[in-house]
This record gives sequence, structure tokens and C-alpha cells, in this order.
Amino acid sequence: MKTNFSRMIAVLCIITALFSLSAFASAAAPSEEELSPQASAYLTDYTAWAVRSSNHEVYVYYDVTATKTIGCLGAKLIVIEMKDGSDWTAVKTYTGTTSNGMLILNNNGHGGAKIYQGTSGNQYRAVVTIFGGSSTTNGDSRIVTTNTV
Amino acid sequence: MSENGRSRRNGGFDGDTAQNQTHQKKQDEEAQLEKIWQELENSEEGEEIDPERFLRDMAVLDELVPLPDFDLGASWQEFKEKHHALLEDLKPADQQSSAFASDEKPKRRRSVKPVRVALVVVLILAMVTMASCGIIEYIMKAIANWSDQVFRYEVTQELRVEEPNLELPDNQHYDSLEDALEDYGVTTEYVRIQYPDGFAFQKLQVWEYSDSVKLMATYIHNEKEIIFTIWHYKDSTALELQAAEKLPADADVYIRNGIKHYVVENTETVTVSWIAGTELYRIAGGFSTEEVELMIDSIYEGFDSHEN
Repeated sequence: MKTNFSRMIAVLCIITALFSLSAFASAAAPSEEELSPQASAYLTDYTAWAVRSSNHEVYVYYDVTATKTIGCLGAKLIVIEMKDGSDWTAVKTYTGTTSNGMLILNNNGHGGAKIYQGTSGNQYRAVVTIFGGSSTTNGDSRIVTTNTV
Repeated sequence: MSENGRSRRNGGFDGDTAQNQTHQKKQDEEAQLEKIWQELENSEEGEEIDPERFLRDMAVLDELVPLPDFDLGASWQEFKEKHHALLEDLKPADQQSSAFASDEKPKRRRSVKPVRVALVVVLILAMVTMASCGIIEYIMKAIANWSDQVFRYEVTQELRVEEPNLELPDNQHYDSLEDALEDYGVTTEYVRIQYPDGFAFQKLQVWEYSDSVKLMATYIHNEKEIIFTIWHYKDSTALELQAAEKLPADADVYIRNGIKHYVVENTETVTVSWIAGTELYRIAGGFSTEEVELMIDSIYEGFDSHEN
């Protein structure tokens, strides 16, 4: 009886550990970044990623760190894409401006998000154009494709 | 003989297979069954059961009353139909426990099993609670890789938030890095950095995302900036997709206190990155190689050194 009980405890521990691991392993694979082949005088690092809520809202986050305080930085464009068979189709585009908060002036860091209402049964991702420059038109752009949600 | 014992034998063992036996044979079988049952019933609480004896007893039972092809669902349905009055009369579980408390023979079956189930439940709850309270520390592991264009971390041990509290990012300003770390519950020993002479704290900005927090301190000297960033992750997705700009040269690796610090050159700045626990640290500024080494060394002054 004791042996059986010990075995039961051991099995439960293993199952619990496996659940924990499977939770960690359920990650979306990182997407390829399409990057210009040079370093930047404006950008240190950047990222963009997507999270899906239980009611199918797609949150697209972006974050950028500049090399120093620069004239303009943030997300210049966010294109939400929906998977259509093996293709991706653009379903929504957000253009960055200082008034909608996607771009910010005279700072060395910026981050934000856009929310898109998705539908059940569809997969989404976003293609985010990160920007950092001396002005809204003069600078470096980098494109990041988020994870699929 | 307990009620439980009788009903079990009548319902489970003395079925149709016994009906075709002779009266004498039936009596012998019943005597053998009774003997086995008594041995099981009389064993002391917590007593180890001899597995060989148990298997032997089961073999005898199987020989005497071989189990027919058994459909558990059909059997339960049949039992319910035959004994629906009994099922209706069943008392609530707590009353049953007290009623059976005076019944000495089935005590082990009815008192020990719930205790074991409770122990298992407590064990699972304790593990979940420990994890949620951070007693079991989640560790994020990643390996650095780089191309001619970017430096990035490839996550090898992920962090995941299954149900993040989704909100739009919150941007806050603080008077000191320590205040922000305290407010966001980030405990770290990697922030005591000796920056090059002349640099002074200017501002601290925080971006709080649903699954991570970015704290960014700016130090200035003669219009030059040092930007120290701490990413505190609850989910490593943002890290997986993060890229740091660099020139084509390889990253230099400084190992201090067992932690690899990667130094890459950007156009006009140098970037130092390292990961510890669930945090990514990054310092960027216009440093010389000597200044980078001094800054990294300064982080670990006072640490027990186990450099490798």
C-alpha cells in the first residue's frame, strides 16, 4: 500500500512537472526579422510581439530603445495580418503619427500597443515597422514580424 | 463480518459463476474466500502486504470465481436499477463517516483513503501556490547569437504567461531606478554600476506591458548619454523577437561571476547585454573597451567571485 501510494505521489509529481513544461513549451516560434543590413546611429534595440486575449482581441506591442535622445522614434506602421490558407492577408493597417502616440518626439525610448478585434478560428500576426530618426522623415526603419496568435 | 464485506462478496464475487457448482464445492469455495477475506481484513493499519501472498490470494480468487468480461458502466447501471432505494437512502458523506466510525473493520478503507487523497491535493496546491508566489523561481535561459546586422537572444528555457492581464502599456517616470524597481517588485543585484566619470542620473522611464516591464535609466554627461535598460520578463516572447543593432564584427564576451556579458559595437555606441534570472540587462553608450570592462567589473564588486 505504501509502495503504491509513493508511486501515486511520484506519478502526480511527474504529471505536474510535465504540465509546467508543456505550458512553457507552448511558445510560438520566433519569426524572422527582415532587417536592413547595417547598424544604426539611432536605434539600439527594438521588439514587437502579439498577445491574444480570450475574446480574440489581438494586442500588438512594440518597443524601441534609441542610442540617445533623438528627434522621432516609435512604430511607423503596424499591419495586422490574418492567415488565409498558407498565405497571410493584411486585414488592418495602423499608420504611426505623433498624435496617435505610435511615434514620439525627442525621447530615447518608446513603446505602445494597438488592439485588433480578431475572430475565433483565425490566426493573426503583425508586421511592425520600427522607426528612429532625427525627424519623422529622416532616420532608420526596421521591420519586425511578430509571433502568430 | 461487516456489511461492507458481505455486500462486496455478494455483489462482486458470488455471481452467476457460482450457481452451477455443487453445494459442497460452493461451501468449500466460500470457506476459502472467507479465509482470504479475513486475512485481508485482519491485517493491521499501515501493515505492509506481502506482495507474493497477495498475488497468491488473487490467483486463488481468480480460480474460484473467475471474473467474466466486465463492463463497469453497464454493471453500475444495473446496480443502480436494482438498488435504487438503497442509493436514495444514502446519507451525506460527513454523516457516513461518523456512522462508520464505530465500525472497526472497514475503518482503514474509509479513513485512510480520504487522507491520502487530501495529501495529494495539498501537495498539488502547495506546488501551484509556491510557483505563483515565486517560491519556485522561474528561470529564463537564452543563448546569444548574432549576425552581421543584429545581436539577439535565442530563448532555450521559456517563460510563458498563459492568461496575461491584457492592458495598453503604461509609461511612468520615476526619480530613481531603485524606486521603480521597488514599485515593480524587481529584485536585482546587477544595478550597482560605476559609470564613466562625469555621468549623472537624468531620468527613469518605465513601460509596463502585459507580460513584461521595461525600466530605462538615462545618465548624461556633456550631451552624451548612457542608457541602462532592464527588461523584467514574465513571458519571454518579447525577448525572442528583440534585436539589437550591431556592426558586422563579432560580439566580445566578458564572463564575470559566471555570467556572460556580450559587447557589440553599433555605429556610434557600444552595447553590453546580459541575462540573469528573468531579466535582460543592457547598457548602451559611447564607451571605450576599458570603460566597458570597468563598468562590468563594478557590478560585481562585493559579490563572491566564482569567475570562470
